[in-house]
Amino acid sequence: MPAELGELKVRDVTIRLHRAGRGCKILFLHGAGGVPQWLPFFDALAERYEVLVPEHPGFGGSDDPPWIRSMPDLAMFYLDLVEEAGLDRIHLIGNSLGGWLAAEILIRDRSRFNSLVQLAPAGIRVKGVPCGDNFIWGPEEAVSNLYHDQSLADRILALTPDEEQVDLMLKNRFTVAKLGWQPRWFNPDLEKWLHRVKLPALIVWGDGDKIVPPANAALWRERLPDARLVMVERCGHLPHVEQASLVARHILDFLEGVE
Amino acid sequence: MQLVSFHLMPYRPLDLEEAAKHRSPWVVLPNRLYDPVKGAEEYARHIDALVYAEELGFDAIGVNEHHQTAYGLMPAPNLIASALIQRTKTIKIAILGRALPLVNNPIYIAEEFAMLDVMSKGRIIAGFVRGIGSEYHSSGVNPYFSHERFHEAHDLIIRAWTEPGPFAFDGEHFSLRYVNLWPRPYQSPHPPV
Repeated sequence: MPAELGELKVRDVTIRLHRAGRGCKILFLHGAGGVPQWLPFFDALAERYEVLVPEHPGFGGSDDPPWIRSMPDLAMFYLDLVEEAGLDRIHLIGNSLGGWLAAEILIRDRSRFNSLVQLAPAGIRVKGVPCGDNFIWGPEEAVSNLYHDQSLADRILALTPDEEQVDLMLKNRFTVAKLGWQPRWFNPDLEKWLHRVKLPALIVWGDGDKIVPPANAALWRERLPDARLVMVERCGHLPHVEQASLVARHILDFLEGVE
Repeated sequence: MQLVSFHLMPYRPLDLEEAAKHRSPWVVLPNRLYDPVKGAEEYARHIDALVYAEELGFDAIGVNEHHQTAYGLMPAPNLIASALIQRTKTIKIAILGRALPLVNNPIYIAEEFAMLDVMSKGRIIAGFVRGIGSEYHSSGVNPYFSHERFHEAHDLIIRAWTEPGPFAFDGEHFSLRYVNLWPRPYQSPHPPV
């Protein structure tokens, strides 16, 4: 199913929006890597839902407004976005930095959202279990540590990005540093408000996640008021990429239960 | 032309073979490779060498800031500058420099430079730097905001040195209700930067 690529303007910020499918709306919030391509995972969801995949401000083809300086700023931007775009009854899915963002949004205002799916979210910490430090890793190490299956990493590393892709990767990296450098990958004020996410939630975590340790999964389940957890075997930090069909099936089953 | 005798105080007893097994001599090199007894000898010899620059006729001695590395053992260059002040008479002492974005209150840098300037009766040259990339790993400060923090800290320090206090400073990164430096710098309007 071909995705449609468009733009969305919210106040002074224009962002890029990928969309496909028809039905109730799924809003997918991407992680640190942005949306370099449309994924088979999105297609699987788009068979039953309208899937909206925006590129966050500061990422990919979206504007990079100087006034977005933190994850709370980005969360407020998205509350503006769903209101201005008239989105309602949204199923929110976030991965990694996008999962952190999802939680920052929902603790502020969950009124336009129906459910939450967290795919290895960042945003809170387990003391004594630090996240992998993708900022200190070399480029090859960073790709390799994303995946459990190293043949996937090897295939990605075999590709040579062109100049435009390198520019986009740098743009993403600047924004990721802005949002996630310190404290590394979490907001100390987030965890204590997670009880406000009074929505059915599904947490999905790869048992081989080298970025956000699986130890975080239990803490998310404890803090979110209505969450269940699925651990995915032989899977790294991107469950929706590495185990796409399995994770899509879990999500579709979960969403069916919600509706 | 002016000549500065400058070095970074490397840790010379480093086991290079062992060090090569690690990602970098910065930030992640295990500090079990540092021996404080050998380190004491290193400081003594490095400081002797820098002090000797006065006798040799150099215009200034240079010291420098780096963190968590065998490459340079002056995380607090002002401490070395303070020792040098006590052992020299006329030579300038150039701190090249303090990394402004790494601190959460740049007033402390303004104060330390002012102290050194008064203690040395105006022999201080103040250097302001941002620090290299690894400094943002060892301090945790977000490098995205490094330029902003540098310029704001620079303006705050210059104002603290030159404007009558107390005054309030309203920055994006540094916001201080009271800026009122005791001591003020010895040189007027302030140490050369």
